[in-house]
Amino acid sequence: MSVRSALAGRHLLITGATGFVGKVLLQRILAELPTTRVTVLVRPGPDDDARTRMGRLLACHPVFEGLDAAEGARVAVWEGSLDDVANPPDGALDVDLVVHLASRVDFEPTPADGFTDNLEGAVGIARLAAHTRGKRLVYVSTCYVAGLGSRVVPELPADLAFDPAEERERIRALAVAVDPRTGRTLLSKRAHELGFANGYTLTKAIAEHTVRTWPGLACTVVRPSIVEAAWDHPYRGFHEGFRTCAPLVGLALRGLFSIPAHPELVLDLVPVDQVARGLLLACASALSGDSGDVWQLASSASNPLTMDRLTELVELVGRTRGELAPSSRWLGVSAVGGRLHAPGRLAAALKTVAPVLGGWSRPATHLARDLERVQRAADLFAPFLLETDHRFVADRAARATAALPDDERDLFGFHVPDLDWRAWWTEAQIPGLQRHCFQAPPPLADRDPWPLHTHSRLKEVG
Amino acid sequence: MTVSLIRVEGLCSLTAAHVAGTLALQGRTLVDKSWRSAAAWSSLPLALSGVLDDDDATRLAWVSLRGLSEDRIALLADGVAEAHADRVRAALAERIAARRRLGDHVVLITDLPGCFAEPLLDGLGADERWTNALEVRSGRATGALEQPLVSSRLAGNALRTWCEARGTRPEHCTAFAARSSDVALLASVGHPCAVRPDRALASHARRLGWPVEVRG
Repeated sequence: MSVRSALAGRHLLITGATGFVGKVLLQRILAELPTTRVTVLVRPGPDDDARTRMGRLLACHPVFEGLDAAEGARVAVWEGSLDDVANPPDGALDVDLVVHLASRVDFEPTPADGFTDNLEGAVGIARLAAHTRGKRLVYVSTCYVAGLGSRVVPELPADLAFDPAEERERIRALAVAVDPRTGRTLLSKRAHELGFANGYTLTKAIAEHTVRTWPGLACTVVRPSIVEAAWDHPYRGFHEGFRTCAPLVGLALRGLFSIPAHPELVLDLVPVDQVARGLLLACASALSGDSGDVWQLASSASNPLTMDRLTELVELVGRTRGELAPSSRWLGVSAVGGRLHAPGRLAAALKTVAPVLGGWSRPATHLARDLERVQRAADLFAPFLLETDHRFVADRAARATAALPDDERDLFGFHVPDLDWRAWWTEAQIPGLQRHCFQAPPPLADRDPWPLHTHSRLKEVG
Repeated sequence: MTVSLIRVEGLCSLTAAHVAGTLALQGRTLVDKSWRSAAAWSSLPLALSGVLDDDDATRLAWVSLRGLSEDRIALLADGVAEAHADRVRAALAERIAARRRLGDHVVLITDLPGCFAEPLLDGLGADERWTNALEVRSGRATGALEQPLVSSRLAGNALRTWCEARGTRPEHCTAFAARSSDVALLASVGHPCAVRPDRALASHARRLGWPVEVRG
């Protein structure tokens, strides 16, 4: 299978193109697939319409550095959000494949956000895709729809032990009935009851089931694991994923010398450019006639990185880059049980006694609030560091890579099984987190936006 | 083909004890640091006093890395290379360049494991490097060295076999070394040269009429 041949002359509709994975995917298409056309569904910015916003991103963002503004002739903008897909404007259905990347990557979404963005958004996209010329959808989900536990997870549809339609209605009801804060807690609780790490993975599992079974639609599900810094493209260390490794690494470099996790637990990380490669392979496969597939883009089965090794790499890279004092303690992982809930218990105790502490009651309340924040962070990460140790099989991407022509294998192949974690942590992940996540991101270049087309004109220029 | 064999350790005063001793401080606890340091640093006096032969002393020095992860050793090796690079370059670069100008195939020989030697010797312009290898199991050093040791490539007929495979003979080789333990190497080649030799090697060189470089 050739990615170039499969995508030559094709027209893709991409949602979430301004996001972390979306930007890299778009860069790859513009850089390597010169006859592929793209329509992006983009919301307007605070000061710009969607066309100017996207044009500015393409002209000024370092991800697209080196690309010629003439490539903009292949990009059309559909101004709107997932709410607007029910009423596609003229020409928007003339696409061969829809790639749905947009979602709310918030581990604890409110029921309203989870419902609107992850559930209704997916339904809207499935409905839209079923009416396009190609009737094909590549839906980007997450490996963690597998739920909590420790097992080998094959590339198969998730085996849901509940009725997805019923659960969807329950979330809709929650969104209407309770305030967002209570709703967030109730959704997380419900997710745990159903065996999921959080509300995000529950909503993605329901959405995945919905789009996969949508009538009249050839759907390919792509499940990346935890997406982190780029290795090759667009440049080494590009990073915009703030939610999983970043807080842990940030705390470690600031002196937290013990990370609560099982030493032998495997944290499934995958570089963003490898995800973009995997997506292009899945797109090529879908356009070549294969559908109904589930693709996992993951490392835990083929190239596992244990927490023990991960923390040692953080410590070593921090030490060699001078960010950890030579005398500082070694970082390590510690298996914790009841201690994981200690901050919450202490916060509750402080809140109880605060009213009788006189002048100390205010600082005690502040401390209790801080401890509650720590507890929330611990609760957020516990499922990934203590309760889940899956091995996600990623055979489809490996097989597709092996089937690529020789001249495409380096460019489009999924090479996570051969990734050197030490080099990646040293040269990409830690520098990338520091450059993009722990400090203000580099300023965008000051250039005029690329002149992009609106979606309806793409047909004329293509 | 003519060959120059250059023994790294003596020429730039770098020993396994030096490198291993630096890394011994990477122990987690005081006890851990202590036994690692003891193993690394005791290897040198034990070799000099003749209690251990050179191979055993080298083995003892690397025992100090037992249990350290491959990641830790590799990343710290880069630090070791940085710390010693200037000294090694000053001691070897000119000689390597001179031998290459004469058309020699230049081989650097060191007891250091490759993970330390490669970043240290990289960029010096040698054609080949003979190094030891740390034995690693499940991502951690066992403290042993992989067989065969570099020293065995210099012993007996091994050098002659290596030369024959390259269409040359030991008689056409030049060797540079500084320590008495390298007498066998110097004696095997046609053009031995003792560079700033220790007392025993200087005495051998005088007796056998080998050229001696006092500065180099």
